[in-house]
Amino acid sequence: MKEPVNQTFQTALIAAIPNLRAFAISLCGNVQTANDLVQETMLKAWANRHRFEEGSNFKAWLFTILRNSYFSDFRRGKREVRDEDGVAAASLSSLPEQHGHMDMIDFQRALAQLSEDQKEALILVGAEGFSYEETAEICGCAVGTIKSRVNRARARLVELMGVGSADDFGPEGVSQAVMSKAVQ
Amino acid sequence: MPGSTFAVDEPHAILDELIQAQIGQQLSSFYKELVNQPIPQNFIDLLAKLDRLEDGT
Repeated sequence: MKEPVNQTFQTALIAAIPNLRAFAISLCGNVQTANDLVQETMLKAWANRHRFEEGSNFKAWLFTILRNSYFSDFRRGKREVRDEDGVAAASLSSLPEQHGHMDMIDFQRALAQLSEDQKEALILVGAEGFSYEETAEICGCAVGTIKSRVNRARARLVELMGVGSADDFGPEGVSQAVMSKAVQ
Repeated sequence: MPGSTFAVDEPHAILDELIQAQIGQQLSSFYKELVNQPIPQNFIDLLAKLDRLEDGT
């Protein structure tokens, strides 16, 4: 009677793959490495599936496996591929040429300049939608630590992208924004 | 700047807020883009293999 359990596990695992991949790509900035990382995560999750506690957060469990694999083996290990310039082109190559495309590449470049800790916290909270508490559990640190990492990540991104963004609004945009704020 | 006739308290704080909101938006569209990419076929194959391996034992 093991099969239905495996089936459920497998279905849940497949459902989580897109998010695991997105997290892995954001973290290591390289699609090939990210795919290896996701594959390793899947193998570890499968091998340890009996340890998963029924009723607990499956996605958080998988993300914990992935980030632990990344920080223990991938980051400084032999598999590391430093490719900061190729990053954007590789992972976003499937995007059609469109207005937002360059913005996205700029964004990914800025993201790549954050420290690993800050990037991880920002993605988990800001993009993946985990709570600070869940993120703290995934990363194995205090909630306060996650909060300050997220804040520092945001501040750093403003620094990295702030000037261009301010220009984007233009003098009129800023006045308008200021005005609408003043009206409130 | 001519034309700034209305009172402004903290333009920088407001600008920061705008930039912050924009960054939040870019973060989520960047991430959404990645999440929407198709799953590599070898991932599905891998799971199928694991399942079969299990059946064999």
